[in-house]
Amino acid sequence: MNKKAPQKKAQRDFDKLLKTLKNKDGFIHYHHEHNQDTMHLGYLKTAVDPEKLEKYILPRVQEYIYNDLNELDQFIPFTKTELTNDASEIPEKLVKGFTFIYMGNASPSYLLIPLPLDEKRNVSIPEIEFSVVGPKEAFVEDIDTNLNLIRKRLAIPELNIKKLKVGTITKTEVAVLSIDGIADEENVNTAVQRIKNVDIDQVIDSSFIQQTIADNQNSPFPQLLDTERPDRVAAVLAEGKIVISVDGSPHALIAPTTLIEFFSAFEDYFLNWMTASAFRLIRLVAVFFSILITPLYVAVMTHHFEIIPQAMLITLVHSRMQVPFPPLLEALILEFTIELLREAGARLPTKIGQTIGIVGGIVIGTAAVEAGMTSNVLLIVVALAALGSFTTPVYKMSNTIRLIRFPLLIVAGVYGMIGLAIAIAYIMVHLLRLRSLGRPFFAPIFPFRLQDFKDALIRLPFNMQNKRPFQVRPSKVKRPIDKEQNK
Amino acid sequence: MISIKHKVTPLMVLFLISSSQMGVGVLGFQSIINKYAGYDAWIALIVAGLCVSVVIWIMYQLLKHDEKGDIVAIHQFTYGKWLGNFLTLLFTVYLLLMATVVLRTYVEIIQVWMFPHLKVWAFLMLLIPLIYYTISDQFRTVVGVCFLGVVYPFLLNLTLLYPLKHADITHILPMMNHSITEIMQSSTLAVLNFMGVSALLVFYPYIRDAGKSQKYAHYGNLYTTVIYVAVCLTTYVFYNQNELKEVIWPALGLWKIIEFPFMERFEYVGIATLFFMILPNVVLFMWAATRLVHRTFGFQHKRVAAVLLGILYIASVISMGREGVNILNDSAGKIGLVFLFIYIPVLLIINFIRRKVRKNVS
Repeated sequence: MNKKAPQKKAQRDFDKLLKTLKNKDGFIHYHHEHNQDTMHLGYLKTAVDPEKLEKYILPRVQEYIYNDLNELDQFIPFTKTELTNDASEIPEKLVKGFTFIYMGNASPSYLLIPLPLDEKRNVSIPEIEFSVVGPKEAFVEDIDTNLNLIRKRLAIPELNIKKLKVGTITKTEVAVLSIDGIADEENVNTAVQRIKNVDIDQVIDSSFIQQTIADNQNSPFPQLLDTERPDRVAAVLAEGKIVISVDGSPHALIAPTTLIEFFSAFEDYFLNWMTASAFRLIRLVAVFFSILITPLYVAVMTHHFEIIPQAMLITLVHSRMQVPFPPLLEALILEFTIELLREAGARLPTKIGQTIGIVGGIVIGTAAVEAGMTSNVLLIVVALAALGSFTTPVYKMSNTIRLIRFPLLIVAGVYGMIGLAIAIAYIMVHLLRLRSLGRPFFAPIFPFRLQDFKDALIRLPFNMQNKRPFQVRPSKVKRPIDKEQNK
Repeated sequence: MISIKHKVTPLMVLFLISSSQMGVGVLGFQSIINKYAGYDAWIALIVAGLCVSVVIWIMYQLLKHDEKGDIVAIHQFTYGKWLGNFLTLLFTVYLLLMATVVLRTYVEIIQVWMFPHLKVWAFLMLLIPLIYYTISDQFRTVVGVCFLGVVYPFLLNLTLLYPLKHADITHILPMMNHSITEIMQSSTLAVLNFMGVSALLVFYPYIRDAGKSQKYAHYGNLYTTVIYVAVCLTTYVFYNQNELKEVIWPALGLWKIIEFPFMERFEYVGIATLFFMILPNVVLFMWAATRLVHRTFGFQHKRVAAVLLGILYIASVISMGREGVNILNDSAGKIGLVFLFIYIPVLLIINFIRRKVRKNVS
């Protein structure tokens, strides 16, 4: 009698479990007699891949060549199966795509087989960081696919992947990647520690991690670089940086990073160094231009029109003759219009979005000038500034650039050039204070590192880049990785 | 003890020294120092530069005994706790005065050249939080501002070439036409533009391998001197001595004649750019003052910064008009002269004796 007691308890537990599960939507339950016992198989319809179930599990189960679950386990062509006695674990496992088999009195435990339904997008071409030349792969939402894409490019045993679970509800898988012997241990530890400390209930995308582990969360500047290119990830890992990949996000995060890195497109490395450097410089000039040109216009037109040479003054005055507003208001209205256009274009489907560009750009622009609401010159200035901000390769940074223009504009309207200088100083000091994973964000400008300038404002040829950037404090400074490894 | 993470490289001393020296004075010192030596006053700048180099040497002699030591430690060691702290407090007041002078003079220039109706109190409302934002963080931020304050306005040096088109070399000929005494008298006036070096006494412990940084301090001083002499010579070949007596800020006059196809009246851009040279001055002095109070009394750094900036704000608002600014400038110059060339050498001697005595006792 005594021997039967645990089995009875198991049977009771099972009956209770079955009762609760029956109420669940999409729960499917098979049972049939086998060796005097009842054999049960259950799963959630929406979580399980039916093809795998029908192809590999059901035929094996019906062959009846086993006596207990352990034997059955041998026939099932899946690793990661689990045997458990605890009935309370089952509901949680079912949601994750497991199928359970219970054989009743013969062996009072549950065999859990993972058959999750994998719905994922195919690897496609990068859309945000598109490059004309070079690889055309981009990350997808599935972390395993992403890690595989990285592994394919860095097939070395030193590639270190630490996995963590973040988010009290979502329990999202987050992977911290680094290369042992190159990446700085302290950087890796900081990243892992900060991710562990993240205390939010949901991590839907890598941006959630980007914002929660940022050194200064009250900064308009993104402090981790996000990329959708596996080739870029492989390249920065080899530089000694750290990459954070989040399940469900097609963007990996790179840290530590610097301000200037946000203005380097990965295509810079596919072109020869002269063209690449020239393009990078153009981008940097475009950024300065984009931030400063409208505030400068406002400052000069409001306070210091003496600066403008006479020949130019005529053009300016002529274009502003009918405008009833002060320059500041005029500029704010136009900048607001441009932002309106951008936002409308971004929210609408692509095909309609293009129409918005035409309507906004041409129709409103021409009409506004003809109606005497704004001046021609300012229209040109604002449009060029908007264009300049779109040259920034990283979308989040280009948003920041457009945002910081507005306070500059207002201060320039109030205090002219001096106000502008003070506002720039604010940004400067803010950048000086900013850190990325504890490393200075404004490097290599300050702290001044001449060595790192070879891949900052310009990109020098690869054979001159024989040292890894000092910014990341690599364990091995010299490139390439020592030859013993390649033997 | 300051952790190595918060320290800066010895090279940064170059930028700290020269950015603490150069500031608002660049615009107007040319017409002040020629009071005695006339068009030979540029030699007085070299003399002043050399003298300040000697003072830097003396400071390093004082500081080198202790990597952790700053003026607070030296004062306490030399004079004991009470007198030492009192003298440190006086030094703090001096630093505050310097910050006020720089800030107030700059505001004065803005008032005269750009916005005659500028409300000083409102304008400073914009500026003071910026200073607080800089000095409430680590020292590195202050160093960063100093670094950029040297690098970025470097381009302004190119503007010296433009006025040379209208130069008349005979304005400064014959050379050495003034007596040594006259040149020395002028150099006492010139020293006002070098006085920022006193901040070295405070930030010394923040330098990595501080003992090795001495050469960079001298280079920084040399850089300042070279720039000053270049500015001075350009001014003197551009203006004649009679004109110089009339203008307060000759450098603005130099900028005024610069023309580009898209820009005239360069001095507006110049004054705005000059802000990046003024800021390091004020920031460094205010940081040093804050640090001294923090070291002496142990109050929280951020709170001290807030209080001292409040004092700076009030002092800048109440020192009204050109006369007020002149009085501030003169008194700061005199105090600085006494401090650098009398107090510091005396301190070295007393400190030396004191150390000998200590040694003998132990």
